[in-house]
Amino acid sequence: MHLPDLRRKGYTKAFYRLRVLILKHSLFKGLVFIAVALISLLVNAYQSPYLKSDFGVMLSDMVNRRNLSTNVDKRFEKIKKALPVNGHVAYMNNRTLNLIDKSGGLYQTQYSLAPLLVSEVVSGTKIKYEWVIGDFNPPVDVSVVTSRMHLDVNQDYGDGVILFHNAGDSQ
Amino acid sequence: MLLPYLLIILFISLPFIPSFFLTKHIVEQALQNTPGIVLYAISACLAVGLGFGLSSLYLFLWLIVVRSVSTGYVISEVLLCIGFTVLLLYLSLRQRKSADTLRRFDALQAFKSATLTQKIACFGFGMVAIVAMVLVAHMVLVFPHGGFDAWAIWNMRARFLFLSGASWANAFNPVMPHTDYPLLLPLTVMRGWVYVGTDTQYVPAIVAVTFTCATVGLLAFAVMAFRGVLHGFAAGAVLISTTLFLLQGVYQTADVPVAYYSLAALTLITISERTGNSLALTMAGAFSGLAAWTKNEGLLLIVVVAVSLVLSLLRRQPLKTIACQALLFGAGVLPVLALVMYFKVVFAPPNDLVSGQGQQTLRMILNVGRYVRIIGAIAGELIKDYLWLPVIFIVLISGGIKRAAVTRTAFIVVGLMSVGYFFVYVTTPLGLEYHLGSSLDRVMLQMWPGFLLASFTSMRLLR
Repeated sequence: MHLPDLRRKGYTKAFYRLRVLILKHSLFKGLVFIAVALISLLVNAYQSPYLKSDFGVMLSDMVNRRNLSTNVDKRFEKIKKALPVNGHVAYMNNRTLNLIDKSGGLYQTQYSLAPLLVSEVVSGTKIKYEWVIGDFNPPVDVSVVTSRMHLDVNQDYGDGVILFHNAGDSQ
Repeated sequence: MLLPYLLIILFISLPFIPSFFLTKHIVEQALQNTPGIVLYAISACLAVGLGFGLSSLYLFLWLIVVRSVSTGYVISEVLLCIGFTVLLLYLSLRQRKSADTLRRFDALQAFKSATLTQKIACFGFGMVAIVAMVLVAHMVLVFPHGGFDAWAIWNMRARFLFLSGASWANAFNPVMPHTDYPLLLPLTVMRGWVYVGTDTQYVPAIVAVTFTCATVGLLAFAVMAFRGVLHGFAAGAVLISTTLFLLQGVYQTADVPVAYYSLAALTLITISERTGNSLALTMAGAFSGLAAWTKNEGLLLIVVVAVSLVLSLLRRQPLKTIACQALLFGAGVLPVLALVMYFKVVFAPPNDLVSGQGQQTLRMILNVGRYVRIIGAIAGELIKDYLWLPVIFIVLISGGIKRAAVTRTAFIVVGLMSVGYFFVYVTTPLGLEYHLGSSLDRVMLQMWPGFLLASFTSMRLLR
């Protein structure tokens, strides 16, 4: 836009001067452009809840592979070897027992055990599958689980991961 | 030791090369006065998505016909890509011989002839891009499996398809969430794993970052071709500095690829509008189809683009021309849409948003409170993640629109898509709060690059 156009459009004096400054000086315009883009990126980045967290903690998590997403496969590595490659198993966590649940949940387990199909146990209904995966975080009293759900412990893999055998089903 | 990396390069470059020759042929024909470097960059960015899209369709056809993937698949794909490359190269050389229009990749020349402002803008864009790349690299390391949607939907489906062998249709078992979602992304990831031989986390992460970079590149260079260097770098910098875009890219969700395919379709429609190139319109149709092959929202995009084309031509062109344009667009869409529909009919369970409609739909449409809640959520999202939007509006409103350059169809598409999404929320059978909270930011992101293309090509920046 040419300078006379700006006057004709009736811009306020301060705004007009600012635009003249920008129009006349390429360098100034370029610097403003860089500054705005960088500030926007950093402000956006700061706003983001994922980047807001302590960078040092995130770096340490990364190095020590403590991150939930990174560890998800490792957690189920051993139990995966004990289960059939294809087929269908049941899944339960603290929520199934109406307890506070901090586990990764059904989908994370499903992701780790693919291509094995995993179905969540609905409390109070009959479990349809022979094998039941327990994913307990925080840990629970296993004897309560076995008596309430009528299951036998097959093996405890630690870190809240337990394989149960459903004696009531021969599938 | 180096072999997996070489195989990943092969997985990306194999479909990319013939796609590049195809897109270059179209873009070169249409944008004859554009500098070589911009032309090559647009072609390369379009080729990324076209390559991934077509190769995923080929893999889908292979799975349907052969039922399992083995070395034979890789050999057939290599041969197919080499065949197409040779054919397109031959056609390109023949055309060049007859037209004598050798376009050079004149990067150095372009930089030398640039004005000081353009050089500073280039430098600024470079700086922003470097900061963004550092952030992206950091986030990829922190979230190697991507975000929730990646491991609950997209990568999980890819794992099922890759690890199930001949029982790959298990990937659509309804015990898993959203098994009706289309397969471009899972099949692309699976292709990568087939090449590497294992389900490494590198492949989905690389695919995600490639789509993210291609979206930025396509936006910047397309705007550059339509309106100039400064506009192009400004548009690219605005997209990069939208952190939600980078984050969703790293999260390996399908929203950035959908945004990419929408942007590619809009770019090609704009090229067709400005130059009358019919091949560009057909290619726009193909990209719209690939958006539908990526996510269900792409089906809405196809309808909206078709309606927008008709609306934008209605007052200016006779009915015969409009019908002709619709046919050209349809020629690109239909082959891809046919496969999407085959997948929907044969493999996919009913979509929850569609099957959940019933008597309560009318009640939801008449409920004013839902409208207020959705508008409030959109406003909150705009404030949270789209800091650039007020700046763009101020520039556009304060006399910053160049009427001759307005990309009418692109604006109509973005507008109609927004209306479409709005009514999806109004009529959602899921809980409104849950649906808004779990998807609004990603849905709005899908339109953001297209909106930036429409705005920056129409914008009058200060001279």
